Amino acid sequence: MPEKLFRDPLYDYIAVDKDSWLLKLINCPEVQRLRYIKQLGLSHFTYPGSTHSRFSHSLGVYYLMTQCLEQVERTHGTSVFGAGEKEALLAAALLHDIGHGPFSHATESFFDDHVARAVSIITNCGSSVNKVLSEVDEELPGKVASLVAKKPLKGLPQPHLWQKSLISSQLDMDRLDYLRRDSLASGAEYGNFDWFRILHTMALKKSPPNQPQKPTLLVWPDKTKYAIEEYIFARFYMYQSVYYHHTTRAFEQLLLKILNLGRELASQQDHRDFKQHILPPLRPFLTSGQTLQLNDFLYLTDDVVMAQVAVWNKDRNPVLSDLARRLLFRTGLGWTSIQGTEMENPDKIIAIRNYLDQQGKDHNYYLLKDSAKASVYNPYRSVSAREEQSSVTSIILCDEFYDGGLAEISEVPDLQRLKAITAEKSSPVMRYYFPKEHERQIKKLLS
Amino acid sequence: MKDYWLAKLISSVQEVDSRKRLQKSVFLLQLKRCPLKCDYLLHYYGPYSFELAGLMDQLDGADIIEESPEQLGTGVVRYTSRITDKGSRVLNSFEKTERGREVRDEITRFIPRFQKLNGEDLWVLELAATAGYYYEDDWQDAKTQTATFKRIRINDTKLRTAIELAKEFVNTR
Repeated sequence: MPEKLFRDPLYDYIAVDKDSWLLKLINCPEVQRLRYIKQLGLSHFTYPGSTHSRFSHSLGVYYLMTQCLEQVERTHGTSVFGAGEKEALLAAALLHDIGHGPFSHATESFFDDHVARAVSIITNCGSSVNKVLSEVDEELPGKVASLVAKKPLKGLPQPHLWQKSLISSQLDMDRLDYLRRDSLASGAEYGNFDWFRILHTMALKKSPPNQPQKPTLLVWPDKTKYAIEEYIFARFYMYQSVYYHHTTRAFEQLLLKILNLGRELASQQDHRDFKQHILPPLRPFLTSGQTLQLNDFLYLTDDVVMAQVAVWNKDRNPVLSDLARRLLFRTGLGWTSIQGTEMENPDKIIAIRNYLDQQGKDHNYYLLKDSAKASVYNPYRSVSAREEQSSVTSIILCDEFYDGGLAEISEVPDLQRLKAITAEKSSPVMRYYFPKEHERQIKKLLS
Repeated sequence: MKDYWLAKLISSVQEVDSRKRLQKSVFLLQLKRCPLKCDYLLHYYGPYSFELAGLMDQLDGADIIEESPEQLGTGVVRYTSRITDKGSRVLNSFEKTERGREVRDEITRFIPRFQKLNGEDLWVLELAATAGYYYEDDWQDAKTQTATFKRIRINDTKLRTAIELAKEFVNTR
């Protein structure tokens, strides 16, 4: 069958049969929209090369899934897959990110949870992806949605846990792709690891009888342990240096602040003309009483948000126009970090707030707070997870010399180095961003 | 202020005897609109939040709460958590500020419920949280799904108790 070839910087060529339903799926508007959603939010403010899209990442995850399914078949035979399960896994790999709002995770608190929206699009009879999937098998949309969803979906059978963990776990196809892709695009070379070994040594294994539900597990042989260790370190370094870079996070917080201020102004009666200048795809999120239609969402992209910010750059509200200008021209944000939780430092925070207010910079808009998620410091949840965390998300090694034949990666004696980044508990650090022109004075206040 | 709210809840009891209990109790409180709003997934033992686990790590790292591991015979580790002396001092001093008073008021009404859940049978709590997770608009359906997920009989006495407990949190959602 003739193939459509996508050039890819990580895998060279990604081939899809020209007459296949998968190519139809790729050509759906909901998937094509991902070309206009940057994979790393505003990371290009720090790393100029980070302009790659969710589309190229989704293709990459799809490619890795094809390789993974071949590996599982080679090891366990074709009977390991039930009817339609392979198709569902391939489609889920391709569609897992279609619910992302503009700038991906950066604005998720404003544009809502991307997984829930992906499930809603996949199960919506009016969507193009739903139609393509339904033509293959009318039960396929439900199977794909169940693989992508965080929560069991009512009325739909639950996928096998090992299949679900290929889509979402601590070592899934998503992470295998994005760490290396983001590393390549940003130029920060921390994200490299031996992905080929990880992918080509995975296997399935029945779980021991003491597991509450005795599912089949995704496992790796002992010989892969160093590749997995490398992968966990890559994740740690990428979080530290790229994903939570202070400049990126500063402007992402600023973008959120602008959007929230836009929503606040749109709700005020005396700003009737303000509403008229809101671009249509953004209206459901900025004004009340409008429900988001699937069709609106198709046009909700990074460019639309930046166009709106450009419009607000000339708004008569001085705070909105000032914040918009700072974002558009990537300028004017200073920052400081304070060790400890917010409740440990009320005096310092009050001092910053009071200072900004005195300078005519309302702290509600000009003081941006950012607490790094625990995942920044803990790229893999291990020991503490033994109480609760299921094998669905843990990384499990399998070899005859392990107790019971299985070992969770953090319990492997040779990998003591991992404990330095997975078992250490450090005090959190809060970051605060504010207008650059007040940086010196604020740092002086805190010293 | 999720770290404060979590520390405040833990400070309201002598100790929380396991992370499982904490996870399930906070999940049920969130059904009642407790401000923590942690993201939950469904795991073998019921709803589980990585975010909440991360917050616990942070509070432990900041020496605001103390988690003591206990190796159980089954090869499982159980963590008991309690507020530290430093944690009590931090809470007291924070609550003297205006911001502290504001956020304290948001959690205060949930404290009696948390204290009650802290004395609840752990298995019932696990079942109640799972049922609460499954509930959409039909309790019978949530009960059936919980029984299937937990591999217990639909007429199990503790499941019945758990459904009644879950209703206390879901009904007024």
